[in-house]
Amino acid sequence: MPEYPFSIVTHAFASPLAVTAMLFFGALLLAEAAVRAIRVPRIAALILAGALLGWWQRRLPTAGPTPVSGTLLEALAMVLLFEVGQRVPLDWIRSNPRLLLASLGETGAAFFLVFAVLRYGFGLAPIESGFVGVICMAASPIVVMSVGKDLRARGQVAERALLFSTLSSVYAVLAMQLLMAAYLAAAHARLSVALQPVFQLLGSFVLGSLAAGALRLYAWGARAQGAVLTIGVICLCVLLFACAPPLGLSPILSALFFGLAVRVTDRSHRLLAYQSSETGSVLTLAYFILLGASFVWLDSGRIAVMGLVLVAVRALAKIASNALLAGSTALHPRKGALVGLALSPLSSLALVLAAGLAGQPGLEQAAQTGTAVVLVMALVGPLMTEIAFRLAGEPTRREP
Amino acid sequence: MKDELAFKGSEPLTVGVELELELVDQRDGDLTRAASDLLRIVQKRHPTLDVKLEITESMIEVATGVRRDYPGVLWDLRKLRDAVCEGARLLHIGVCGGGTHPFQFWTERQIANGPRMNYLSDLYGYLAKQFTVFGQHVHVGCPDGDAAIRLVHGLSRYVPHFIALAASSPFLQGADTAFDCARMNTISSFPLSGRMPFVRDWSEFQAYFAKMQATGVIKSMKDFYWDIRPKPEYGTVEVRVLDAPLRVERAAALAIYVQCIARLILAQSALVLTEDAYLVYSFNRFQACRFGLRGVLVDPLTRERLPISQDIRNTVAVIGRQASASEQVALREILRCVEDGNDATWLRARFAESGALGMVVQAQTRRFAQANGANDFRAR
Repeated sequence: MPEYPFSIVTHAFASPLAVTAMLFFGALLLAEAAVRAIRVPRIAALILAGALLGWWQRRLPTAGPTPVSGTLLEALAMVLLFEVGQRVPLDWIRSNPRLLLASLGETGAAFFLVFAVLRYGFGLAPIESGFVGVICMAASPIVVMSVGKDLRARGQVAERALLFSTLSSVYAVLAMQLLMAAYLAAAHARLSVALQPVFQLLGSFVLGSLAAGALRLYAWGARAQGAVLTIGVICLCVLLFACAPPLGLSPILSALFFGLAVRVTDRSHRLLAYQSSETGSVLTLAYFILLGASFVWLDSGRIAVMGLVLVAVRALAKIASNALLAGSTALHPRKGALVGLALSPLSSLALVLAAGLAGQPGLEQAAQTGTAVVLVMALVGPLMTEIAFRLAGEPTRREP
Repeated sequence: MKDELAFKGSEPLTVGVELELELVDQRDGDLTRAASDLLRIVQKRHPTLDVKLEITESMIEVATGVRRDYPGVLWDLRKLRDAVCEGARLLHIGVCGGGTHPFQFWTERQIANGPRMNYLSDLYGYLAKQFTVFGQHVHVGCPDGDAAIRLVHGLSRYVPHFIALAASSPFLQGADTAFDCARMNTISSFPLSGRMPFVRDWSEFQAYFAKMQATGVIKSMKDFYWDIRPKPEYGTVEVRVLDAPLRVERAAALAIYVQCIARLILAQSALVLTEDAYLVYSFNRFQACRFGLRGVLVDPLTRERLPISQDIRNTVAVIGRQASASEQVALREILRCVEDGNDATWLRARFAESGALGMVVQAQTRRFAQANGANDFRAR
């Protein structure tokens, strides 16, 4: 048996692929131990374990190029957004149209309160306050769905939180497009600027519908079930992720519409089988570990303070507005407040929005502030969602 | 004890119906938790309707007023159905009939809050959660306690009819049980289920109740889970063996079938039965649960064996002679059930079509919400 020098062994384990594999391994070990020992919610434990190991890995002197691929994270997010699209009960709005008004109300409240605090409390420029406000409007449907699935939550709080988080994500993507187009066009506004969100919405809808048609063809042609079906879903999500940006469309909206179109057209629920597949569960675990590992910790005290204040303001806006508007949508105000609490998480969608700001000159502070809020809410959000579901008495998972 | 067992006589042969309904998720058909939310909406919009919480958050109970005839019962049930479905639409949940949910797991159920519910949960442990089954209870008005005892014994002969006609629980915990009515097996797990002991009149019943209370086994009449029991505080006899049907029209027809048989029994002035009438009670009950309308019924007195469906046809022929025009409509619905098959048959056919129990539940919710204009009656 050959004898290897220690440096070669170290080098072998420091390769990006090996570090990524060890990250997954270590994070899962850590997260599952935390779930069993101190009953931390599983999703929060995965993100926290990913964040800790990501931070530790970046401090290693032997660390090579970052092992965590942003592309992989976003591609995973696409697959989970497809699942959100399949699960979100959009047809509910037809029988209870006030839900749409309530969702506009709660996202509007979050936007305006965050905007007001940044503009008048911290003295930020209106356009920067507006961008951070848009990021804070959204809630993460992926986290809400994953916590709900983990707890097998059933009830009004879980259902409404999924609906509202999805709608708020759509509003945030469109508002960001509108604001960014207006910002870039600066003083000479054009009609095309105002039409940008409409183009985004319609174009993403067409792309998502085409993907749904392709999936049906694939399922029919290959008689796809189980893992074969899941691979088809993943391939189409990655294809959307690759094709949407060059076409000037939103990959996030395209994935959502893909899921929605499949839900509407799949009357026999054959394609829904993906949701309960083991591959689906593996992707969820991988997504949250990668999300945690992608966090870059803040080095500005002022930004951190602003982030914490905004987290509190956003939570207040979501909880209060949902409690106030609950009555009009046939829900008790207490449960409305719990819906607001369940809407706490922010994750990859908000990170993508914040990252979009970072590349624009003059918006650096907005990007940093937005990232700070996302960072806190990505860590604490899943915990708050789980608390909301538990207070509503909705988990049905069999406890060990 | 005396107050509790004072039989408050009521107008003979009036009818009241209670239905326990399933609340299901629109996405996958599994039971959901929405009883409190739904109750709040229905009580706010329709304060006069009788809608109550049941033992878990996944079920709700609706009850008609005291009615004399088929149009009255049907009118009430349709109003209740429409109100509950209207509230359910706002919450994006489904409401349906059926004696059991096809694939819910009892471990996932949560007992609703309330002193009675907490007491049942403490006493019966997992049985309380397994009690997530859905029945129809029919109350028939009695003038006094002696008449109630007579009616309980008289109706016991027809328990297999009621079970077979209403059977709508072929699936349980994700599997076909091979029973048409699996719900009754769940109820049989309770120590005070089955039939009422053979007492001859109300004073004998009071003596029996006092002895049972003295043993500490029971606290009130609610602790008896008998198939048919007297309900002294309402002045009724309560038939409890029916599964919740998939449509309110069937529920109303079953109530009238019970009422028509009760008329025959109450027409007799004294109890003509002996304890031998119960000789094959459990066998007949099993036949109805297991085979539904295809089961065999043994007459303990004549020793005659007849298919349950034939015995129902014979009974309808007898009670039909005294039936009013509106009752004839209800009895035609009973004969239609005998010819076309009960709800268990319908559920198995839906499963054969789709191969998915989730799709069966969706079909159930559509069937329950469906406004059936046939045999319609004007508001009263």
